[in-house]
Amino acid sequence: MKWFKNLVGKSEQISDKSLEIIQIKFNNFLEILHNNNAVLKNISDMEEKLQGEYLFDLNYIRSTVSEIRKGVVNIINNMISLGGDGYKRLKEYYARIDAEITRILPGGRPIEEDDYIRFFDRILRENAYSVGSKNAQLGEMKSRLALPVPNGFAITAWAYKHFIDRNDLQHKISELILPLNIRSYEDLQTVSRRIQKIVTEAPIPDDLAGQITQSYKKLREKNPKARFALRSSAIGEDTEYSFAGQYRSVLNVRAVELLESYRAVLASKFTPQAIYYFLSHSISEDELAMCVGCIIMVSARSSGVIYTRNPVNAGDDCIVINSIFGLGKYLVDGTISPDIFRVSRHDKAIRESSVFFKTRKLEMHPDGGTVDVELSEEEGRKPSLSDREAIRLAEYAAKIEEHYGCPQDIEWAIDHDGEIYILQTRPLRVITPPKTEIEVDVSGFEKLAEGGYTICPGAGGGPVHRISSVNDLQDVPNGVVLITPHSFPGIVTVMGKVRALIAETGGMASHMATIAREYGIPAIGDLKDTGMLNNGDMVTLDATANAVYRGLHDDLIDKRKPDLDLFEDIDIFNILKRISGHIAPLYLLNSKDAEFLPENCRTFHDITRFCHQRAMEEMFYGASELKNKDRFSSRLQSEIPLAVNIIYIDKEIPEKEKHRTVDENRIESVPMASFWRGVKKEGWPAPSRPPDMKGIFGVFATTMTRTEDDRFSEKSFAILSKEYMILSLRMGYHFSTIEAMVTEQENKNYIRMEFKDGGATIERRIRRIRLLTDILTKAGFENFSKGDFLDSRLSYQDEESTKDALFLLGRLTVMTKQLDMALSNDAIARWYTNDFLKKLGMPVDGD
Amino acid sequence: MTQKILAIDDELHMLKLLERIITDKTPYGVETLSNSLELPALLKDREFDLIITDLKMPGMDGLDVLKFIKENNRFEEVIIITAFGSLDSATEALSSGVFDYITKPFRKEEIINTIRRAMQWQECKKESCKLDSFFESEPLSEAVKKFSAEYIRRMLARYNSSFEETSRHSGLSIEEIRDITG
Repeated sequence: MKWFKNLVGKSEQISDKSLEIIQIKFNNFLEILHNNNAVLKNISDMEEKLQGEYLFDLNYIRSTVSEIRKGVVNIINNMISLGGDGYKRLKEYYARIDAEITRILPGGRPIEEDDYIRFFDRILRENAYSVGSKNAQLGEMKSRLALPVPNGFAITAWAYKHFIDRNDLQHKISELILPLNIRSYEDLQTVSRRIQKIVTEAPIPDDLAGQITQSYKKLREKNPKARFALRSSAIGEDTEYSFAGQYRSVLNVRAVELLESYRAVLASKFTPQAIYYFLSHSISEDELAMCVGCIIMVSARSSGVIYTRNPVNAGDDCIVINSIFGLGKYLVDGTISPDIFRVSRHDKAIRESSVFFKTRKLEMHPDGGTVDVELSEEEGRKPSLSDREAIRLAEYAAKIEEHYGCPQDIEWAIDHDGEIYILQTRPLRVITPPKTEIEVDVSGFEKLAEGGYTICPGAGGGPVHRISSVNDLQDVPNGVVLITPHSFPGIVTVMGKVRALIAETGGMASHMATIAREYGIPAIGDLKDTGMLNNGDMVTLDATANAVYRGLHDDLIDKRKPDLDLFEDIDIFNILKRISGHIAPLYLLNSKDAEFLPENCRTFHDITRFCHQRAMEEMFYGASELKNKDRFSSRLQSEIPLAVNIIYIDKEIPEKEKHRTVDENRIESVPMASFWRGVKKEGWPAPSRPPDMKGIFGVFATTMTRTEDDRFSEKSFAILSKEYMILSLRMGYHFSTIEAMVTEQENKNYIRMEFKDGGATIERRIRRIRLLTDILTKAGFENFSKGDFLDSRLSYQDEESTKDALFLLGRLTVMTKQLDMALSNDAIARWYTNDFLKKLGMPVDGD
Repeated sequence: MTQKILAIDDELHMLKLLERIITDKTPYGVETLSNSLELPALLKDREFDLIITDLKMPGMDGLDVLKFIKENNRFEEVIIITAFGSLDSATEALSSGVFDYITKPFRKEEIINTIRRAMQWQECKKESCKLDSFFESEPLSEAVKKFSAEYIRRMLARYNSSFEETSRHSGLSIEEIRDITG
């Protein structure tokens, strides 16, 4: 802004800093209005896109969110310059909301500088962009929820970037990924192998290696008997995109294997399944830094997964706990089918406990690594969880869900002393059931198999195709019903090809189950009896009712389709919808509320609303308190006998005093010109009000008590720019301050008037306030009054309406001058109200 | 026969949306392709009426797809979907014979109307190709034969394949009609 620089230069000659400060503040103020306008526009654009009439892509969401972020950050920074450090707290609330958005839509922000290592006690969920979501939630649960979380440290995104940059790896990786054909598993494997080789052969920079080793040592000194695991915590993992089971964890890591294991976890960012996942979701790989957590391992007697809601039956009121003996790996990879406990959300009573034969368990090996242990029939048939433990877990789960505000998928373990540990939490996707229960007539169908658990409801059909290991994946043809003995890594790579999925072991808590639900593929788990299903047989799987029929039954498939709006189930709509939940709703409604505080800002919209309101107030008081106004003001020349001094903040101040006059017909400020037209239209009233004696006494009384108010002796003044005015009027015995902004953009426009005092007794002054309130309410203003004080506002009107409202205020200002004296009773006040309304051409009550 | 559309986009979300809209809101068939590099192989033994392609894609981008169609004198028309602001590419596409381009984000009606327009255009194009082939026939008797066959085919369609009705309205005997239609 040129004018602004000119002014700052000039003001030194004036040698008075106060004007300069006002100018800087005004500049901040304009920036806030400007950004507020831009943010509101983007928010309404986003809401429009959610109506289902538009097609948009991820790029649209990214760029809109990024514009909104930019705007909100600008608003906060300008708010701090305008109103002082008290507003710095806003940054914290911004970061909290932003962390939630990043959790839904990863990427879109460059890796920020941070330490290479952060211990869990220095991590909150806001740090997800630096330590990855998994680590961040562990830190959050430890610090904010005081839950039992094993100790550890994160190796940050900044460390990953250091490793990649130092070895100059990024362009080598991009070159390999860019031309990749994701429909071919063979190509995926080749590219994956080549990238993983590059990563595992690159040396870890000395400084980073040193810090990792030191931190490990520190952790071990405090926990000499503990064992440690390195777990992936990629940026973007465990967000709207689960990446469930895509990356590697290395269990029971010894000091000598530490660095090698770190590199192995980094390399797992490029497994075939992980590459497939990020390519099929249009996620840019370079946005997904691989952070790693070094965590104390729980020597688990039992482990499992809690779903705080039933993912395949949203109507179920229970928390679902899946549990097995030993480490949790055999559960999430679907090796064995877990015990299932359903605990009521309300009274925490156990509603179901289904105990199965758990054939084996995984345990830590004393020399590092893990060992598979076979269980006897007697051991394997015992419940892996006591009722008390199940209830305790459900209580923790409810607490976590409440904190995050959405259904959660939680991993936990219980050690041999019975201590519970929470190992991970992430958002859980719940499938919306069809809105109406549809009966399907299957009486004529030949049933080939039944049983198992619904992993993802729906029905799908095609030829049977069996696989037994990862090596079979590349030969999976399009459109098949896939049967697998259990889940294994890489199965995600064929999700684009299968019509339905049957797993012979593993329940709804395996990683494969999470992925099937994400892709919306009808699937059942733990279906033992698949002997009748031969390769090539045409079958239909009804995953809602857990049955397989011979032949293709389009009718059944059609009826089982989720009852959804056109786009409801499509990822991208959900992403925008959920992100918009952190941006668009407005919870801070009333600025007069005691709750109108930064800490109550729950969305970006709240922040902008808060700042917009406070900025107006800061500007309002800042301008009214400007000192030595006479030294650089010009006198308004008018027939109206009202002394108004004008200061233009967007013009240079004439150096010679005699040039300092402003012709009333040449006011270079849209709002002031409109207001002044109103004043002139009404003209200066002859002093013909009928003051009765009480009115006069009132004058003396108020004068006596108010002489100490130094504003009383001040002249009226106006601080103006082309689009802005703040006018402080002394009209006999009352004061009013009117601030207004008039532009072509209605989001920026507003008027605010404060009106107080008067010459008459308090009852009469209050009557005048009531009269004003009645008229202004009819004109669309919002009014807040207390005693003889009125605060009146109008905002977000178009340019013409705002000008009209200022014209009206100009007329009202003159009409109500010393009117309080005349308002001896309510009837007279009513008479005046109606008389003014008529004069102003506004509807009168009762007409 | 149902007219067919091929949608190409590397972003699976967008493909899903396009597929859903075309299936729900138009009578046309739709297939999708997320890897544009597979296009030449796919088109070797397939023909579509319309290709809707994203502009920015790895491998073959939207302009490459258009170029491929035009250079091989293929029947398909191409609609390109561009991000807001890539006007240069849009202009280039227009000069290379794109049927239309649509800027993201766009309204459902916008794409549906454009698709309808393209499909009607393709129908006309098929008709006009047929007419061209009549006119290119030599000698005249050959052209007349082709015309008669088409004339009868349409009349049969008009009268629900009734030979009697067709005979009455065309002034030809049923034997003559059988002769012409083979």
